[in-house]
Amino acid sequence: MNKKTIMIADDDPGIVDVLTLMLEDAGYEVETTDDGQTVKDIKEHLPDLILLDIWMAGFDGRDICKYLKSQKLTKHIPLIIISANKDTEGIAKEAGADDFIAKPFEMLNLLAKVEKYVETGN
Amino acid sequence: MKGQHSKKVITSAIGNLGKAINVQADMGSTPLVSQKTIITQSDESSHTSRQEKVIKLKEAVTLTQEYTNEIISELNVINEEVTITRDYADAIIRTVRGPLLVLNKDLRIMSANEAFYSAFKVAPNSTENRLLYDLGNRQWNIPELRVLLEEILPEKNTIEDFVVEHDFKDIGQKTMLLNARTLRQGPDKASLILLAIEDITEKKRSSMYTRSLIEASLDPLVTINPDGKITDVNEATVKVTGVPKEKLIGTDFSNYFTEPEKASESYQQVFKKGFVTDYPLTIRHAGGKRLTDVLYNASVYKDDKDNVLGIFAAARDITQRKQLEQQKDEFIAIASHELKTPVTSVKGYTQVLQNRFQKEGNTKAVELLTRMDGQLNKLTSLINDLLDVTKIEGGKLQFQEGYFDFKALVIDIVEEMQQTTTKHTLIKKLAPAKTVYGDRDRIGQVITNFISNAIKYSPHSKKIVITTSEDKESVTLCVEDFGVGIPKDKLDKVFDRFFRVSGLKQDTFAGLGLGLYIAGEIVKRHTGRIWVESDGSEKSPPIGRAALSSGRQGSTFCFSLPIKKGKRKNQTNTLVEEEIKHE
Repeated sequence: MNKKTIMIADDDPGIVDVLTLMLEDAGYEVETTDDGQTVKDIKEHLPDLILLDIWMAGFDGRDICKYLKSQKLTKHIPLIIISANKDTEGIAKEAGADDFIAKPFEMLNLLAKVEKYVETGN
Repeated sequence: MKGQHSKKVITSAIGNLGKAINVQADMGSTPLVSQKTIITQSDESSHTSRQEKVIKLKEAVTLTQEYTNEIISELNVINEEVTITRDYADAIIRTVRGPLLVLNKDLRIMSANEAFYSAFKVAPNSTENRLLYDLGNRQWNIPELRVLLEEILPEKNTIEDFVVEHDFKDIGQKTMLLNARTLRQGPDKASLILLAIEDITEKKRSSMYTRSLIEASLDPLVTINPDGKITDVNEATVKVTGVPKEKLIGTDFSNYFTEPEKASESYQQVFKKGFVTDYPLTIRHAGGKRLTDVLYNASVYKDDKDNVLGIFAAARDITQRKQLEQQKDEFIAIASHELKTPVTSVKGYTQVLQNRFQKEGNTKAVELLTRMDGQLNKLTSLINDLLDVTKIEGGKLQFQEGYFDFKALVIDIVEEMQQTTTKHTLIKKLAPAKTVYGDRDRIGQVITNFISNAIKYSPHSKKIVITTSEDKESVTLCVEDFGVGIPKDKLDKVFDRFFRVSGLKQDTFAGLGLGLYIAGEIVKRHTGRIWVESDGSEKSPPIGRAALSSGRQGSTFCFSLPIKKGKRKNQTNTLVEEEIKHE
């Protein structure tokens, strides 16, 4: 059975690292980037889910989200916004993301959400 | 009138006297009347006998005597009347508290009152019958006064409220308010001048003093009449509005604010209540877009009969304070946001480890990591409290509102909170399920806060009771603990920012004192009600020892929420906080 791939886009190494550990422990393949442009440019090897930070150096997560959701190639990819903002929910809704996770988060909560979208997303 | 009557009597008496003198002239004695009459009459005299002449002369003398007596007595009456009139006038002059002079037409002083003598330090004997200008070594030889008395008064007969300033050698600089009136009396219309001299030196000095106080203020000051029109302003007001003083006076106070209605509401409130304090308004500068945030403090001013004359209003420029507050809020927002990132990582590592030890069956390590995770949750909630407070202060607290099951929320939170304590048993007494409109997470935050406070402040008791009730319009939740309680005099302060129960062992209870303040704001924004009941003693909170003794202790925190979506002070859900950027 093929492993599902999760793309993590966050510019904080501590967050990227811990998310990677959690997701790999849970049996996912993980790709990471700290660059908003990389996320925008994905064309091949599309991930099964994207975890997107709202603020990355030079990029507005909402714009990236809106862009991906407007492209034929990528709009089906489940996208979860992660932010330390308490109004992550509102931001996610406005940007057209599938879901949101507020920092700091519970691992079980994160894994439950990821699982939900990875299973139903494809 | 008696005076007029006397005049007639005198006139007729003079006529009769004339006739009597004519008779006397017939006798050929000293010609008193015209020569011609005497000559014509002297022709007749030769025909009249000497005796007849004597009789006639006697009669004439008697008559003259009578007429003279009559005249004398009438003159006495007049004299008496004049004396009475003069006494009357003198009494008036003396009674008047302000300095008063009566001058004759030559500007000699006929009478002066005590007030004049004392105000201008002159003696009565060196005053009466003196020329006004000669008073006090010619100190009263004031050019302006001469013009008034010699040119203006004779023409107009009155002088009203004329201000004259003069530096007197003896008594120094004086400001005088002059009022004068010419009185014409008697058949020759000899005029008298009534001159009132009010010493307004002090008045002027104190009004200049007041003025300089007003002008010295950097706060814009303004007076407003009951119609809302500006009656006076200081320089600071001119600066902040960019409108010259003369153009401000007489115009509507509310013209100069971004919200004119709110501005007119402010002075209406002052007329109603007598004052307002810290009424926030924004002044608009005429020259452009410059706005000044101010807090108005205003009160009515009255005359001595308690009639309201207007409003005195002082504005405090709080632009800088607002900027500083904003900077502080931004700083706290950034700081707490930045703190969240490493906390998220640490919490994540903890849970990864927990998960791995769990798989290995190392329960001891799992137990320790669970505690660590609990501490991280506390840290997170402290950070969130800080963020929430800055949002409340900045009016940016956002709600995601919707319908939710109130009972289910309470059950979730009670279960969650039960995990955090081994000492206490959380007892639920819940009403049936009810759907409520609001922000589920924020309401959950209030319940969490109540329960965590109950745990924190009842270290020696075993139970905490969570009760819900409902009626047609609202749901109510109460959390009752049996701990230290809150002193009665502090009960109304518990929802204040930074309030903490303090007492002998205050250090035992850590915290920022923000939780209940935030809870209060959340409930208020849901148009609900929040309150507390406590049996804490008035003197000192029965911390520790007292809580162990039997008897009802502790406090009960409650809130109620309207069930339906009502009129809310709904703040826009614009995404303000994202402006905070990662570096």
